Amino acid sequence: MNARFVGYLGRRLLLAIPVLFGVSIVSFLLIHLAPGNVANTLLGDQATPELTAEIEHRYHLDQPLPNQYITWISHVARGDLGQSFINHEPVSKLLLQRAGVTVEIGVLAFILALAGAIPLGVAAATHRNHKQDYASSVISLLGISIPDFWLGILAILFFGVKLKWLPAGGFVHLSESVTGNLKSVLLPVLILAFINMALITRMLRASMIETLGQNYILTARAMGVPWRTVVWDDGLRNAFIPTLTIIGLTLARVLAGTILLETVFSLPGFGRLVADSVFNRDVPTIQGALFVVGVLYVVANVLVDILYSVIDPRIRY
Amino acid sequence: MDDRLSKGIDRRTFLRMLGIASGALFVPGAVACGGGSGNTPTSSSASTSAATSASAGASSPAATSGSSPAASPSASGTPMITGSPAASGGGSAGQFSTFESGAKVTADIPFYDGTLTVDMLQNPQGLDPQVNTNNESFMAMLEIYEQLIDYDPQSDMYYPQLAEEMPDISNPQEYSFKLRQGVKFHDGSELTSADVKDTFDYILKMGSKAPPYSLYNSLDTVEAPDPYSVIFKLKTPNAMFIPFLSSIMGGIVKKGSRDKQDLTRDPKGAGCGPFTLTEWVNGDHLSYERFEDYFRKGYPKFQKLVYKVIVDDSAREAQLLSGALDLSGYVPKKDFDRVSKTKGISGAHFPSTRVDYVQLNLIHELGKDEHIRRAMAFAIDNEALVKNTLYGLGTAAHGPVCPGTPFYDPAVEKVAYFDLNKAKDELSKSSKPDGFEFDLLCENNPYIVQQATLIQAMLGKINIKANVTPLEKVAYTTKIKKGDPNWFAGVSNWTSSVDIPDYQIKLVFTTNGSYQRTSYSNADVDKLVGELEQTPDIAVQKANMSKIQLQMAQDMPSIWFAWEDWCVAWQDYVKGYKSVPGYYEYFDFVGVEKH
Repeated sequence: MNARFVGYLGRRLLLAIPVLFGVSIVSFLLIHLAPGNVANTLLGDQATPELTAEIEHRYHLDQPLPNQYITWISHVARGDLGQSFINHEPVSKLLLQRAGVTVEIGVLAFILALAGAIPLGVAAATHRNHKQDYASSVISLLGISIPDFWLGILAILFFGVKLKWLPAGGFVHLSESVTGNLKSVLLPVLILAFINMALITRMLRASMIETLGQNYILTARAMGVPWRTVVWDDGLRNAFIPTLTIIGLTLARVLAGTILLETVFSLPGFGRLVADSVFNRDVPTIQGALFVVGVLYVVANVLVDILYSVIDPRIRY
Repeated sequence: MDDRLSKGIDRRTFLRMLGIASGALFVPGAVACGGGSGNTPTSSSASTSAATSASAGASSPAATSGSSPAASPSASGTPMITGSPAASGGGSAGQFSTFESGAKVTADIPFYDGTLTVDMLQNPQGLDPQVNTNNESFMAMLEIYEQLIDYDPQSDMYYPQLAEEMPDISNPQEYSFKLRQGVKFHDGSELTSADVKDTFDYILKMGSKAPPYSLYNSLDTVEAPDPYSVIFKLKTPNAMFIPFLSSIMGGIVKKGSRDKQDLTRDPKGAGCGPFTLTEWVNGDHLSYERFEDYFRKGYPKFQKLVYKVIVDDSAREAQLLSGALDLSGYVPKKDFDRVSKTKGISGAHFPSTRVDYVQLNLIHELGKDEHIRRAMAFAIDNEALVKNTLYGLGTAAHGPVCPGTPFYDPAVEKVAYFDLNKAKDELSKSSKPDGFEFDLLCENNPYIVQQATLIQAMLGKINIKANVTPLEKVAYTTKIKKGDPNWFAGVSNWTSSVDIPDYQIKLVFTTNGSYQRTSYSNADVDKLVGELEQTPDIAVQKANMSKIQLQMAQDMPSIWFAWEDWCVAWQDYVKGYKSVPGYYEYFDFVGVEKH
């Protein structure tokens, strides 16, 4: 890692600050544009003006918006994401509690998606308009077209209710039972992997087809370089650059949680936390969660930038 | 009297005695008029007696399949006939509290050293009975805390819980309780009158900032003359004070625990209920362990209780069918018949205190016109709504009192009913004879949207164009605000946490009702409701309730269309489950025959 690269990395991380700042302002404004606040959540139909005012005062919601934002951001600057209005616990603790489920499922699904997408994408590109290509296209189209929650419900009904092979929902912590944990995450992992594999496969196929049509590939083949070497060493490496961008975004997406899948499988993950917080107008939790999601995307993009130069040594920063 | 005190007091008797006493204070003449007969009395309110039958109805659920727990028709009376819950036979009340009647069923079931898993719709907001009031908090706290007395809808009786016996009610401004001795908190210390005093002193100290204050605001002081005696002194006689003590909002908290811990998150040691909370994973589950020193020896009859938070209907159903859930209190109505007929699963539907209605804004241009309100009411077919959106699991509503209950006046059906010709006639007399267009607000819950869509179609037949506007819950409750002329109508529902029929009228439709949103104000209705609380004469109470219903059917500040049933399903090995209208569920006496 040379000095220029370190400089580049520093610049990217510095650029992340205004990005995160922008994300926090937009999310803060959006949630305050939505009607209602946490007092309506806590009191529901039985909200009297007195109790509403009391709760708004308790959570400083009666303060002007800029004041509320400045208070929040000044705490964040000190490493404090605040306290949840609803759960009365530090937001950082809540995020950590939920992150375990989402990270486990996300990482496993990501690895499986890559393991499936690369051979499928390459096979489709190298056997264009043949049965391998059609099969790959059908699988990809299904993955892109079928909503994850619907696939989740079908899988639960078949494997959980009909066959009773796997639990119909819920999460078993790794510390409780390794087998139980794997059983509880298997279906969501497979579905999340399938959905994400589809997009990567499509991207890789298109990229590989373009690459395999390049003159240097023809030259290599004319020189008698084995087809397998041409495809996997020359073709894939060059075709992987645009695909890598999609892979980076996929990684950030799976780690940010999937609201619908977590809801269908009753998983206490990151996505559910964000959704519940939005419905409950739990501003500190929403802000904290979106801040973390913003960080995830920034980190994923930086990682992708680093990997660009690893895959293609011509890329220098 | 002594026998009654030790076993419990049925609400009618209690209120009759109280009625005589407070009648002597308020309406001496009325005592002579009303006293004497077995069904007479009560100073409190029409509501209380009316609720008697309403909840007796609740005690006779329609079990639909399989071996059912004690809540089944065979155990508690005639099966409910849809359309007339309480009138259809009510329950053979029996003289057992929910605990006792449930415990009778499970007495011979051996202890189960395993877990009972039940569902919950969302995360509880907290576990402090004097602070947290959402349904899930109530459910979660009922396992941890106990009240002085308990109400049993199965027999319509109030029973001593932490109290040793029901109080002497000869003086309606002062109630003295003797506490059970030897009751232990979860931290091992003994319950004393200081804990009871501290609990209610906290409510008084917080005043209107504490949600339970609206129940106990007639309380003046609480005295604890000795470790096992508590005296409640009221500012004015209030017949509802004793019934309100059965609410979990009056759950007894160990003195000083609030100084040491945040009860909303950590109730450890603060309660003396059947279970202790061992784990709360936000948004996922709450785990409880049996409290070994629970004062009802031998109970609970299983070791662990888990509440799983499941927000999605299909996920909940799948978990029940797969056996991951032992009991679900939230089976979607559209699936109830199929689920409860599944092999190994039983189900029952119970009348609840939840009523669905179209809330109208009387300060909106359209809402000011009584002909428009009536035209809409005549155009809405409540029977069709029950059939198509509740799948028959409910009762058509004609007003804020449930048909079949003693204070329901069937005459209201001759004022508020479905008749398209009448609807057209009313519309022709209105300020919008050619029809109009408006936004029909509703929560974005699928079945409420379905109700709104059906209402849209019904109103379309008289040239009223309703634009169904689903909003998420918080947005909806924020939009439907009293005094805001920017909304006209919203499809709403109301669940009374206390099972009395004038509860909604008083809170939502009297001029100064705490939860007023329609801006409805009728001096006659206010006066009649006020009188209900004062008179012990049941005939006057009934007459007042009739007048209120007929007046409101004329004024039509809202259009009530359905009383919903509560649908519960459980695995056959769950025995003795009792459901209580509203959102209470009791598991301390439930048995599990699972091996």
